[in-house]
Amino acid sequence: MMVEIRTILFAEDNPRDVELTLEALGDHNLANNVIVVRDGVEALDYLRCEGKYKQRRPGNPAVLLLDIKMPRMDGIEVLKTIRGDDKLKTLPVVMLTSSREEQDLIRSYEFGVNAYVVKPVDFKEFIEAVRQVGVFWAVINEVPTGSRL
Amino acid sequence: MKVMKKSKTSESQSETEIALKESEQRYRTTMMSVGDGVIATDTEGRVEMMNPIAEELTGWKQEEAHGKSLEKIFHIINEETRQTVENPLRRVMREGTVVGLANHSVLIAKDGTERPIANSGAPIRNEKDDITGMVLVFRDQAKERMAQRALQESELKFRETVKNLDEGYYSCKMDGVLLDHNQAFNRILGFDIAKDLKGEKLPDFWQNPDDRKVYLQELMTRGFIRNYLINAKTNGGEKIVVMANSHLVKDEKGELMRIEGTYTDFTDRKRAEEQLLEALLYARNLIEASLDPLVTISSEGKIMDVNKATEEVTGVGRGKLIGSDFSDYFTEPEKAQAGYRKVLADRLVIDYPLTLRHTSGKTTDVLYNATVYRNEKGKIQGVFAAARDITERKRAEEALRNSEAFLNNIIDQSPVPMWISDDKGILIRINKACCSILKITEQDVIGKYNVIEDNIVQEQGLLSDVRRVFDNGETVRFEIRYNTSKLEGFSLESEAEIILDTTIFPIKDYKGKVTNAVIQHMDITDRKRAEEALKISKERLVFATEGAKLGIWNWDTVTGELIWSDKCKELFGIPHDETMSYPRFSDALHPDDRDRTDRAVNDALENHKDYDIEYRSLWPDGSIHWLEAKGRGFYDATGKAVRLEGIVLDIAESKRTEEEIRKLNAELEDRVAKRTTQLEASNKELEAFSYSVSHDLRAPLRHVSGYVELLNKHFQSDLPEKGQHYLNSIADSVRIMGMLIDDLLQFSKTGRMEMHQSDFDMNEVVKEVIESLSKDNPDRKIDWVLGKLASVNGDEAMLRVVWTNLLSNAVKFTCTRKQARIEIGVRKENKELVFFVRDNGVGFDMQYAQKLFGVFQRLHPTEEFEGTGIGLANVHRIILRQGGRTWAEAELDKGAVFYFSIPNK
Repeated sequence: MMVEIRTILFAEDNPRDVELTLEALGDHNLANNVIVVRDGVEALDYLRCEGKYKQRRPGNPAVLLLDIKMPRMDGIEVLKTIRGDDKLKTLPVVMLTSSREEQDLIRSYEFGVNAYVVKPVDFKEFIEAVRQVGVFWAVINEVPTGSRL
Repeated sequence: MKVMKKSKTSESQSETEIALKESEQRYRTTMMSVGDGVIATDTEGRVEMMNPIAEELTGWKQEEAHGKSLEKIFHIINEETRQTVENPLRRVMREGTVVGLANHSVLIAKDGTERPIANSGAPIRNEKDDITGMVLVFRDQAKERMAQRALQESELKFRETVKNLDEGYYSCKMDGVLLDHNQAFNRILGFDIAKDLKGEKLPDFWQNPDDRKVYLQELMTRGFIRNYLINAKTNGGEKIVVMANSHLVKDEKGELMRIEGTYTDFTDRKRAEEQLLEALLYARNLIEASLDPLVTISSEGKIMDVNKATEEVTGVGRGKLIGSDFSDYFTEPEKAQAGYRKVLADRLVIDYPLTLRHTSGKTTDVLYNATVYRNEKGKIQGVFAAARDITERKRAEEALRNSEAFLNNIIDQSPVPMWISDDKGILIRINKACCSILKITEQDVIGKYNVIEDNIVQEQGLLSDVRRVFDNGETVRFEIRYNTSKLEGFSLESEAEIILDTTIFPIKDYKGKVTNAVIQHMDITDRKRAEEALKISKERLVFATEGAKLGIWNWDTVTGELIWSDKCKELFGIPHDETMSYPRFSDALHPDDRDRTDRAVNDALENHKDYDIEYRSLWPDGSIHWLEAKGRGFYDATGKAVRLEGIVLDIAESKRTEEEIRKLNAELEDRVAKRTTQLEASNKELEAFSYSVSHDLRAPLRHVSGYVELLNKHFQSDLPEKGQHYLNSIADSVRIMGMLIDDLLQFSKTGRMEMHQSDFDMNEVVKEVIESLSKDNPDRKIDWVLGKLASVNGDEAMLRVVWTNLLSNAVKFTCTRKQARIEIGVRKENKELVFFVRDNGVGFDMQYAQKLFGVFQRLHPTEEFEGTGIGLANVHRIILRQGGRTWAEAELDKGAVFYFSIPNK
């Protein structure tokens, strides 16, 4: 039985984190459908099909994996903008961050984040965390069909 | 039926016969026993039957008379004519009716004896009304005739007597027409002796027509009059006095027939009597006029005469009194009789006390003086007694006794100690209150104690005062200290010194001579002591107020009078001699404080509050002084303020201090604000720093860890064993550094986090932590001993961190034990709850105990026990923030006890 793997939008400024995360997703054949953007502005460009993503096929990804600390526009601002956008507000957003700060957690949930995952320092744990997030949001979770990419 | 009927008929016939016989028998018996003579004849007048009376009266026996003619047996003649009278039976036969006998008939008996008789005859008829015979009934009238004759003779004699009487006799019809009178009647009333007045009206001889009416009325009511003296006049107009006796005569039926009476000429006798009467009347008037009840008593003890006073005092009329037993009118008849006998025996009795009883029940106490009285021959006739009403005197005496008792009661019951002396100062009377206060008994002092000789009086120089009472009749008053121990000559119940306010006043007779002295005491010991205490207290108060720079004021809110102490005036810069008033006070205030002060005063008085205000006094020299006034109102029963009094004190010093404190506080606040700003800034920096640490420090670490893993994964086979070891070491270090970062972050958080205090159950928290630890260490054998913990007030999340650290430490340091034992408990100490965790682990050396709770302090090498050295520092910081303490006790290799306390709620 073929499992449909939907697109994951991954916003992360640190190339090492990107590499390690993709490695982790790759272990579970989830890496092929991952779109990586380097900051919040780029993430919104992608979602709104603007800037360099003007030509992309329309539709929303299965999930947005969002780092908090990013140049130009941080993850919380992105989340806030998405929840204020009629076309994007239903998009599942998962914070994938190094921060355990209470403030970050509170604000994220205030703006309607769907999940908040702290990246474990231990790589094995990290791989496991990323895998679970990827499988759940890209495979298991259902979203309204109209918004699919 | 027929037979029976027949037999009944024959029976009826025989019954009729019996009834007939019985009737005949009854008739006979009746006839035989009747008191009248009865003779029955046939139609021819022949005697058939006679009863015994008829036999006796006729002298004929029935046997002899039977069949003989009635005329022979019953022979009657007219008494006067001596002619034979027609036998009544012949008339009966002829007329067929009952007939009576003619009067004056005489029956001539067989032996010739004549008897006057009355008789009657009647026919006997059968059922057909035919005359079958006659019956004659007759009665002997000899006795009646004799009585009649005697009466006639007596009347004749009476008439003769009356005719010759000296008294006038008359008899008249009820209308006054004379039926009879004698010559004396004519003589007395001045008519010709020979004149016959019969048929004429009884002459009106009354001098006073009213008297006649009274006389007749009395006669008609009583039926007779005896010895009635009438002022009359003769036919010739001469005034005479007659004594009349008369009575009414009635016939057999009780109808009034006539009046009979006599008159006796009383004129001469009356005149003599009148003279005597005048003399008697004089004496009588004297007697009657006497207010004292007077009485004469016969030798038989009957009252012979009384006066008006006696009638009044007994309530009994003269008529009834006279002739009655004198002793009946006293409450004690025996005593009265004894008095009477005493008079007879002694001839004279003076002041004999008796009580007279009025018919109404009212009694009169009297004293009797009585003597005997004699007739001309000197024989004792009776007793003359005069009583004197002593009710008033008795009442007066009783009133006096009552008044004395009243006075005695007042004296005895009076709470005022008092005693009375005679004119020499000797005590004659003392009341209970006085005995009680002087600790003496009545018998000790009455008649013995003399106030003039009292040693205490003498000692205290009061003798001259006491003497003035007796010598000059003055009233004196002094205070005396009375110490019973100093009182000579008395046995005293107890000793005490008291202060007596003593008043002595004299009692004088009508001549002004002192007869007694009354000594009154008032125990003023308490008042004196209180006064002394008050004086001392006042002095102290003055001293204290002067010392405390207190001014005292007292404001009479009714009169408006305001009194200030000198100190008070000083505080306002007002001279001592100035008179105060509320407006003057107001003037002495700083103008800005005047309204406020008025309001405070009004508020205190209207709402019954304490008056407490700070204001400034404005001195004449223009200087301003801070003062504080405190006061309290006093109110009458209606709640209206009558007084406000209190103190004023100089608060310049405290105002200055206050000002300094205020300035210092302001500076301090300023400084604190600055510091706070700095602190807040540094807090922010710290937050940013720890944020960076948590985020930025972890990222590279994670990368190191990630790449080591990837290297291992992809190129493990290419690495020599040593290379492998290096990689493992790198990975291990990264892990430890990760832990270190997490712990440090936690530690920094516990210092910064807001606390959320709440009540929660410590048992629950500890149980959850134990559960979690057991899960994490499934291979360990741990004996958890959990005592009952308390419910506490604190930050539950932070205290959970504390327990996690302490219990995971205990688990960690007991890992070398086959059987770990971890005991958790609590004990209450003063205001703290002290929790502890005791383990049987490796313990530690107590000389390093002070390092235990410092950051990065470790007592064991990492190789033996992993750890960052931050856990206990964290515990310490949390407990400190909760207001508690942390400490530990241990011995190397013998386990450890970690304690922390938190305040008991």
